[in-house]
Amino acid sequence: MTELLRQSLSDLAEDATVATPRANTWADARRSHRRRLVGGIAASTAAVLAVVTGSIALVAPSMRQNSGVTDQPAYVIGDLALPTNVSQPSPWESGTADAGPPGPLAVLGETLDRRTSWFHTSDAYYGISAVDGSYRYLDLPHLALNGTAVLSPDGTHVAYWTQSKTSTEQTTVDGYAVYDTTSGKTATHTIADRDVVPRLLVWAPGSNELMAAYRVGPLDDREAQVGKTDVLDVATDQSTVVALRHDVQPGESASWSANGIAFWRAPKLTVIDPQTGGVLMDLGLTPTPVGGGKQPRSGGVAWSPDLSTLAFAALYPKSSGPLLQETSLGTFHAGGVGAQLQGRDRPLGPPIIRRVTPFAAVYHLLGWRDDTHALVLGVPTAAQAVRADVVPGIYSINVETGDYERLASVSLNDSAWIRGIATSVSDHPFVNRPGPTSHRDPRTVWAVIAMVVLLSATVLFVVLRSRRSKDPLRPIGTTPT
Amino acid sequence: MTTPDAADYEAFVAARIAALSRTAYLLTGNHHDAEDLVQTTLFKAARSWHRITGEPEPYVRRIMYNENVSRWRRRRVAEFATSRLPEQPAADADVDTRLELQRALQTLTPRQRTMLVLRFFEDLTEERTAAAMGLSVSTVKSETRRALARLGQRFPELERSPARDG
Repeated sequence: MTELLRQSLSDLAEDATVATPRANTWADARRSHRRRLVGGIAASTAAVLAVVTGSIALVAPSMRQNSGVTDQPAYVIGDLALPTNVSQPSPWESGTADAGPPGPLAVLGETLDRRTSWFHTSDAYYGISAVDGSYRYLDLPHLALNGTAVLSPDGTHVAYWTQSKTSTEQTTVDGYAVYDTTSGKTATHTIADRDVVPRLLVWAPGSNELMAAYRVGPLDDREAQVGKTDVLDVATDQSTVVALRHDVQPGESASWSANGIAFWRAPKLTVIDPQTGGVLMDLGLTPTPVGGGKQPRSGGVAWSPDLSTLAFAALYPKSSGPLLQETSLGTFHAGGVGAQLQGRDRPLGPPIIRRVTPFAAVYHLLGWRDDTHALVLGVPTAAQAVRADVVPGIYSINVETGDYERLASVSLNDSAWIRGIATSVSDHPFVNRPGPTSHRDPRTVWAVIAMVVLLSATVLFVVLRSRRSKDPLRPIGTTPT
Repeated sequence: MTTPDAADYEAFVAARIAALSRTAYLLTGNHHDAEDLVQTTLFKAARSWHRITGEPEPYVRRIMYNENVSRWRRRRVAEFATSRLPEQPAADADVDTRLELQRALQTLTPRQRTMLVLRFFEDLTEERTAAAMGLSVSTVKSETRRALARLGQRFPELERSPARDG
């Protein structure tokens, strides 16, 4: 059968008409080849550009580069405001090193969640703009200690301790720095003394001066250490060092003005003469009944704007939760304007101590809104304080009547907290601002891109393998793989 | 100016176009499609000429086989193998063996036709036929058997001739 078939096929093939070669087949084919080549390159380039552009568009919001320093403030002071809701930024939010200075801040916060890499988080300060409510991390150069940065009352400066490395590669605090939130510039100030034990950084109510309180002396001999203050005039960049006759202790709060430095470490309130370092007043307060006899800790102290009154918060630990503390918010009427506090020979007059409750849980005394209203971070009543879903807030408390008003809600997770607010701006109405920007996790984007690339490569491999088995350029007789 | 590649190509076409035309005629079954198949094959061969190393004919023939099957696939919605014979050639009273075979080949699928051409016209072994068509040897065996059986029904002379394995 097959022999006849061979013969028949050969005979049939003889009927074929021989095709006429076309004259331009070669030229047309080569032109087609060049077109395909150029088209392939163009398509590949377009695909790569599309992937790169898409990736940048998805990932880059946090990588936008602005200048780190600017000279021109782009805001109107009257437009500054605190937000009605305080939250924490996305871990992927941009920082001042990338995005430039944030402008005057309404809130200075701290978080443990800033993403420094795909696999690591770290402590970081962040600011909420008083201009537009935007969030931005503060990349503070030579930052020495977390939990010690302070915001000036007008929101334009952040002060913090700085560090340097010694010859033995040990990190030691060597001074402090002031970051200008409007210009992005940082002014550093080295403390002449060695073996500095940093204690407190405190802004004057007018934001024009900064006090750095510290101890110097042998680190292993506390008795030999001496307390000092270094008062910096921000405008002139000049500082004055005064030795204190007061043992600045850990956990102590302070409020400073030219008329007197108030140190509050419950239950002791001490006022120091800023000129001489001598003690103007040393007042031991009886623990209040609300604490049930427990030893309170300091929750902040603050001079009122007219320097006549000190507000102080005593926090009594409760067993029901680490942040919920029975509170005694008190005021101390110093007996008049600050001039009466000056001079060790002058009597202070009868102090009037008034406990301002019913606040059940004050986490922190933030300062004063005006001469009669203190600002606190807390929960107003005990009933609310024990409810886990209650959102703390920033409250304004009338220290004379005890009336309070909620100004802002504070929605922070357990790894973020407020370090301070711009109290000078707090007399402006609080404004509803957009919350923190929600940033895509770039790891997700890159994972998707990687999966797409992997999938494409797999499909390409399968297609090429399939085509290869039919590749006309593979010599006949080779076995497809 | 003619480049060395172009000269090689033109020499190949001049030498082999007749043989390619014969194969194309067997594959397609008519002169028009055969002409079309040859031209398309030569165009694609010219486009990939720079990739060819060594003897070009195997590559060109493989282009032709693949192109023939691909053309069928592209047109399979409109054209399909049928048990009915194609239209009788007009006014041809004494149908000879060639025409009978031609009409019988038309009842096969292009793949089966290509297989028979490779096996019994090009004289390729089953292994080389499988490689040329990108199929497995077992597929070539079974399809060839099926094609021969079908051909035998339409072309009884084949059944009456002595069998021989290829």
